[in-house]
Amino acid sequence: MKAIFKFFRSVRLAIVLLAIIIVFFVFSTLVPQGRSATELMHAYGPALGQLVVLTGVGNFTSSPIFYISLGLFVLNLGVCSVDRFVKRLKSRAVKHFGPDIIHLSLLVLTVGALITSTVRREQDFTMAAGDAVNLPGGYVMKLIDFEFLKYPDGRPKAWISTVDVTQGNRIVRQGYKIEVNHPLAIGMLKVYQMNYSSDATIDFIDPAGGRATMKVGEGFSMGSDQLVFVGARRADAPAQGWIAQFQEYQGDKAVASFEFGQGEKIGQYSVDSIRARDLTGLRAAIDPGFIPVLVALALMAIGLTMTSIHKSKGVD
Amino acid sequence: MAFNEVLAVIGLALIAVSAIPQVVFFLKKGGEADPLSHWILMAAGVALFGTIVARSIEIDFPAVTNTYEAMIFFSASLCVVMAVLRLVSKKSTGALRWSVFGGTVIALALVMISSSPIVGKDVNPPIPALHSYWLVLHVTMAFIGEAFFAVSMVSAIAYLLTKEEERKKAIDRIMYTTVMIGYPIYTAGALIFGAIWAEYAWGVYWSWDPKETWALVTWLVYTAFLHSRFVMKVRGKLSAILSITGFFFTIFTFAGVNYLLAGLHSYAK
Repeated sequence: MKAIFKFFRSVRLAIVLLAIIIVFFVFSTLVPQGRSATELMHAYGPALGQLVVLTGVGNFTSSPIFYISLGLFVLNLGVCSVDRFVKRLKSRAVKHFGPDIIHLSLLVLTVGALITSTVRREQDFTMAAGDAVNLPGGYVMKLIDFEFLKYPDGRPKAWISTVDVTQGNRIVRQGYKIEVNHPLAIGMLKVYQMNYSSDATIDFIDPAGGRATMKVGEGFSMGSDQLVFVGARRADAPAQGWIAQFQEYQGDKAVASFEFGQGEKIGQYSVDSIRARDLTGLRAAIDPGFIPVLVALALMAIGLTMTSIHKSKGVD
Repeated sequence: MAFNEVLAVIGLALIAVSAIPQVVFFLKKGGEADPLSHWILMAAGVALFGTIVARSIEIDFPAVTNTYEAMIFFSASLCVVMAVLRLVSKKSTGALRWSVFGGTVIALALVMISSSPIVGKDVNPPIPALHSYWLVLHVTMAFIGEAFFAVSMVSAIAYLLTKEEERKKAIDRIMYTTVMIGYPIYTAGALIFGAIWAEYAWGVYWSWDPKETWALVTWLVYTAFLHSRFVMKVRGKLSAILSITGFFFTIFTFAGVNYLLAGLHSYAK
């Protein structure tokens, strides 16, 4: 038992584990994540592909090396922290616990990360004004309004989803504005503003007077190319309604973009009407792991401050 | 030329001018540092921070959201850090002059790269994800920490090139002190405030995005640097190598990841 304790107390072990973790982390950023073994073998060739598959660096947060190296590191950190803390308590020298608090913060951080990876739940969804969605905890959230504000140059300024939240007959939030960096929080449940899209349909009239309808994602064949309906945007003059957006593809490659308004012709078809509605993209998440993580970050800040003050007094 | 660009040019000129007394005193015998360059560097830092302030007024938000502003802020922080180190360090100005000269070259290079055509200089208000004061804390504190790491790195190179034992000891001390100051600031900026901002913006405090992973790796290298000194009592060459390695990771996290690896931070281009 003593030998095991001594082994895990070693700073050399910590340095070796840190080196393994650093190398593994660096490689994980160079290899595309989440690809299948076949794709990796195809991309890197038989020898390198086999190595990438075996080490799990292509799915690194779920690979054995990730869990084993981090598990050993946390064990090493825990044993070192206890050993250091006990020695400090017994020592007659000036007691400073800054490094102990930093080590404790990392252990609490690990607990928080474990809770997040096992318990965290999230759900992405889109809503149009008037839509309602059921959220965990018996809450019902209704989208009252969605605004997409732009800067004069057309870049996005803000996406604002105004919502009402009820639980049974009780109004929990009324007219709450969810924005990026300003989520809705009800206890552990948080709803984040993620993005924006539009749900659009075009009605066409063909030369014979027949009618056809097209939805986003559908398109026309133009010889070997495809003209795909990718969405709609509001016209600069509100009275003009919506503008349909098309993308021309050669195989998988987008080669040109086109826009068509009401009454314009696409080949032999004439655009009769464009119907669209703005959709807000939201994410509901419950993460009990964030509380210990927040505590860990606060402890880390305290520990670092205490250590810095202590070291500034000239102790190296 | 816009007012903020005029200030950046003044900052660039002042950094270049500060190198003159430094070079003159290198050529003189005696090993003492010049009495002027740190004041010029301080003025350069003020001019460069002025660039950031002018741009911030224009967009009504702290202007630290694109590569140009980041490079200017990094360079300004480096100038001020070097000037303050010179002012507070009474004993080791001779040893510090090598670190300050190396830092001056880096500060100059940063402003020159930022003024090149490859870096966009448009003054744009932030997109929704960047509209957060947690982001401002995240970026500014990370760069201030990195400014200290830059001084440590040039001190490490000076250490490896120096033969005189007394001077090596003094340079080693600078190399360590700058990491010791920069480490908590970088931790707070890059990791703590970064995680809080990510939680507010995307609902997830850590997503193993390449930039996050490289920032963590950088932090781990400096953690190894400090532990090797505190616990293993390592000094000198190994410390110098770790400091240089740490700064390589710092620069790759800042620039390399933006251009070579895609991820959540891709808008930082």
